Amino acid sequence: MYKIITHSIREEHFGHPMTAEIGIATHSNAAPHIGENIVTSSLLAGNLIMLRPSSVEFRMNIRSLFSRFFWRVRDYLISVLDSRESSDVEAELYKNIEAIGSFIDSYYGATTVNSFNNTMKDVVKDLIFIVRDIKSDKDITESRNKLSESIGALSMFLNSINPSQWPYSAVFDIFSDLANNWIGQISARKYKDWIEDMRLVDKNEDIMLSGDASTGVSPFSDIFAKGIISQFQERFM
Amino acid sequence: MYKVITHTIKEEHFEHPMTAEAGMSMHGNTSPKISHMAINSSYPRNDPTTSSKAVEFRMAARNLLDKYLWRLRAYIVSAIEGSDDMALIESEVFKVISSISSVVEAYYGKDAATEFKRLLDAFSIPIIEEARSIRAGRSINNFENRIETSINDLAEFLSMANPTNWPKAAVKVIFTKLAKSFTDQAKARKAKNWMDDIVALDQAQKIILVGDESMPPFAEIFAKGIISVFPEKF
Repeated sequence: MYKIITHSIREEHFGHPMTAEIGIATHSNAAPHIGENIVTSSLLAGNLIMLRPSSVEFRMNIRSLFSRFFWRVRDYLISVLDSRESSDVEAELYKNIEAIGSFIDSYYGATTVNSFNNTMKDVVKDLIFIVRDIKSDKDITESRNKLSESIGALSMFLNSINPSQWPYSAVFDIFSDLANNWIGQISARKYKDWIEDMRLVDKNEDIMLSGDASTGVSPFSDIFAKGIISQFQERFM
Repeated sequence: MYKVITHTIKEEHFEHPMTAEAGMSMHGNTSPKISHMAINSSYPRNDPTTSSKAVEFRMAARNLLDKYLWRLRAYIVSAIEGSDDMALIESEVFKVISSISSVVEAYYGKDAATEFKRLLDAFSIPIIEEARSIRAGRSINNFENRIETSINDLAEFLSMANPTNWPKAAVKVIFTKLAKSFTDQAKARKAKNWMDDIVALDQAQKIILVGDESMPPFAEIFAKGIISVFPEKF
């Protein structure tokens, strides 16, 4: 059987009314391409840009980088709990963050990437402190507050560089959930509640890597990648 | 600045000349449709692997293989420590293998999926047992032979299912390297050589998720292989 299907797709591109403002908010010093950015008028066109081979490759690469970071955090938190702390391994963990930073350097520039690396590292360092507190049966209220501040700083930072795609409250909620689940895993492991540990691993995988099929919520790795693609569409043409 | 871009996409669908043969060799009685899609456009849809469904499928395959990798890794970490969660993680490894097999079932049918599950189990079991032996300081020569046999069987099966995209030699190389990376992780952790452990773990991630200059990641080889054989489903 032979058949032909013909599709006609029309894209409308226009300068977004907020372009100038977004450019100022995110790249106050130099915004060579933001001002030229185009925002597609239709959902179809918006979806199509995410399906371009360069976009798909970018999403896959970002996902791999976040996977590595995500699992290394869990690995290392367990090592801390089980008294296998190693400064070399901790340094490797931060290199995973820097690898994500390097990957987005060409979009946001070195200064922004440096801030990204530092705010992400602060979140991880706070988590490590909490694990040490849990391990030694200390009250974690204070270290949790510190973590919450670091997550707030990270969310504020991401919101500042891509306000439409990475709104503060969404990023804050995502990272708070991730952090709570990581802390929950460590608490569960301390009391040898392996089933709870694995339940929280699954939850965090959904948040960071898989998404939630029942609600249609995208994983953070894809929110992150799509945010960049949306902001720098001309780089994915 | 306002601009309009109009794309005309023309899809041509026709029966693949090898349909009958492929159907016989892979599916016994059933003969699923295998079509070749050619799209006369430079738009993304000229590549069936970048349709919306195909990208979703590739992401899902990546998630499953990522889970497989990390649960085996988690097992090795626990096994070397002698942690009480070994049994639970072991069951999680086989749960993920079942999920991957369900993907195979959706395209190749139940019998193929059952066989695929048996073969991936057969690959994973000696890796699991080997980690326990490494902890106990016993010889692992026996496991190396079992792993090699399982890789050969798995590669044979996959190349029969999809000779173009999953050639036997390539599958053997991939799974041999993967098995070695797990063995290396177990040995490094036993020796408390954490940096070697990380190097071996990186290697596993390259094989499954990231790829390198010589080979795309297996997650992509697996997903794109299915999309290539069943483009009409994407």
